[in-house]
Amino acid sequence: MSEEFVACHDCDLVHRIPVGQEGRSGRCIRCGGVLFNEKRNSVERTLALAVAGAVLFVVANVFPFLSFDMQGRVTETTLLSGVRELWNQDMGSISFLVLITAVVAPGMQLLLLLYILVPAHLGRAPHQLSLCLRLLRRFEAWSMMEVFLIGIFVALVKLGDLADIVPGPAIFSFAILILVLAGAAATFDRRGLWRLVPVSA
Amino acid sequence: MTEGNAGGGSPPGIPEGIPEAAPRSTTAFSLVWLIPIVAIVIGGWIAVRAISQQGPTITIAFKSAEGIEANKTKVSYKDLQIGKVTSVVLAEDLSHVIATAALVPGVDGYLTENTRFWVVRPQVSAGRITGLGTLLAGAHIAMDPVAEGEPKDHFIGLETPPVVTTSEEGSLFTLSARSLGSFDVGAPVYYRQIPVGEVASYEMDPSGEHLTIRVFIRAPHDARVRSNTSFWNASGLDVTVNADGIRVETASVVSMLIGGIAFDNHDPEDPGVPADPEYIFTLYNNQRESEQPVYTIKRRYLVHFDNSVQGLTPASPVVFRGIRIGRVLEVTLELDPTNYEVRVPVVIEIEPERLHITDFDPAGALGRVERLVANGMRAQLGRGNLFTGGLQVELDLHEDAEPANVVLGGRYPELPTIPAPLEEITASVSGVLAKIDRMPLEKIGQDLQGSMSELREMLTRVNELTSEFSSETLPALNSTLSSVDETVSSLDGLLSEDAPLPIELRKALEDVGEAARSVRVLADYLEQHPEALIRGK
Repeated sequence: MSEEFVACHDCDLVHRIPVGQEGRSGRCIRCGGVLFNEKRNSVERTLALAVAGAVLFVVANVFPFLSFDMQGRVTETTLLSGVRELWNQDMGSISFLVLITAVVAPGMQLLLLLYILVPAHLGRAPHQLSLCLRLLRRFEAWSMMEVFLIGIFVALVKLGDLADIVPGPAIFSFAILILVLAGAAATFDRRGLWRLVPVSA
Repeated sequence: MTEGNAGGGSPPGIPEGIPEAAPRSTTAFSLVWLIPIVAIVIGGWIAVRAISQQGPTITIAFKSAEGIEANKTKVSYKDLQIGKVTSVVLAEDLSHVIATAALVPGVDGYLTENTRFWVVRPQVSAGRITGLGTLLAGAHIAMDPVAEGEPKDHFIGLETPPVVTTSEEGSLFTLSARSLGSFDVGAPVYYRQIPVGEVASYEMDPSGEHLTIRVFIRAPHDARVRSNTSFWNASGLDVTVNADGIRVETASVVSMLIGGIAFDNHDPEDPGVPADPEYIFTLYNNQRESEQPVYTIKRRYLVHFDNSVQGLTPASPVVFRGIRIGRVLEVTLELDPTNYEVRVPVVIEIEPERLHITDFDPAGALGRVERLVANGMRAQLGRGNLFTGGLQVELDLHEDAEPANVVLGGRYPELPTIPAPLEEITASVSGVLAKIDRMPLEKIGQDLQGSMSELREMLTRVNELTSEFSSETLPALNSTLSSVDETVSSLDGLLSEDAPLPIELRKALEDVGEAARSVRVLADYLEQHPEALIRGK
């Protein structure tokens, strides 16, 4: 049984972590900063949220996002058709940005979470864990679904006078997906995962 | 290191005094898996709903894709969207386009062979303007659902919107007409000048003889179509000039422009029974024609005439004792090659119902005609209209006619004819007419005109003379007369019985008488002896 130590993120005071305290949080005795937040069943919870997120992601991408009814002319859009429309209207960079921040980054986030957590749940370390975790950080940084959603809401309010806008199932899934991903990020315990990897490796 | 690892003791090599982190209790949720389960349930429910909302997919063939856009064009019924066009492609043979439309669930039962689809575009016709909404929102495909019939999923789109959709309450009636007149599909149908329906369609009979026109009468007016209802063409103006004056008939200005059909029951005493939808009504050319009694039984006979039938045309009347009982159907010319005789066979059509038979006659139609012919019924040409010279076929009983029979065996039974009594009269009349025609009426007229002007001139002069006479001559005449009076009175003296003048005058006259006598003697002698002039007595 090896002891583990942790340095406080804020004041660098090194602490010894009490063994067998899985499922607990620890804070710095000097500055009160959270040292670790080892939730019980972290892997299981995160995995559950990731699965829910994956389902919502599929729904958000497959089903209609919004339908505009402008003088009887109904236009239905999905997330991807919106991206395509932007591309067709020569707004390639914006189209690309939307694709990355609203579709690719969250998708990769979910994929990586699943890739990491499914073996972890079964007690095995996934291959290339360190690479996966690094990638996960990258994609978390680029995942800006909430920004996209706020943009949508602004458009809804502005266009509401001109056209009847009917939100589709995708937009609700999208909103819930943001919450689920936030929850998954909160319960995701990187430190705990490393325990699966032998230090010698 | 007897103390528990949770407590104070430090492992070897690690400095003492490093405090242990304070434990922070957390509450665990093992119900965390509810989140993905709920997500899956909701996602699954959305997916199931989306799939179940997938109604039937149909294809509709149109001549052109004008106004039809994939993912934009709606399919609607009663202006409610019931589907959307998902793709528009050309048919393989390029003859038409095929629009694929995804419909909402629930319309499956109404996709039958009788269901019709058409594209609603703005349309302006003489009678109405439709589809204005499509100017802004774009064309859409409209549907007329019919539940009865074989289900199908491929349809041929109509090129023009149907006038009558099945959702409208009313009835369709069939009319038969010889020609279409000036109306078109959509032309109004009037009942006492109220528009109550429209012309739904028209088509040629397979025989080409008649047009079958389908008219739609909206409820509740469709109940006004009875078994004895007459339909007539209310198109345009019907102007009649006759002895009663000028009569102008029209249903409405709209029908004047785009035509129309009117109907009514002419006999208020006989309400009739509700019309059988299968019954074919006759479309009369005008109201007057429709008001005439309808005789459905028509029999054809043949009559032969040997002389000119100029003025006898199809539709010329056939009269019996002056009452019209039928009409002439065709007038032809026939050459008999055996003896080169030219005859004129005339087919006449008689409406026997116009002849009221007072009692039941077991002889039958032909038997009756045979009896009538035996009684002397003959056909002859008669003058129908003195002004136009139109002829008519007259039937009458001529008891002194030579016996003849109905000749059977030809196309139609042949009735015997006798020469027209009018023919000679006609000939002499035409002779007189020709003579009148030959008179130099114009020249006479001109001469007459010349004489008239001369006469006028003369009269003026007479007038002048008269005035002159009265102003100048009369006083002079007056004085003359008084002097004459004087003269006469003086003469009176001269001429009295005992005046010398008359005595001498009488004497002188006796001498003159003597002289005359001797001259006469001389003349007589000279007449007998002219030579005495030379030789002497």
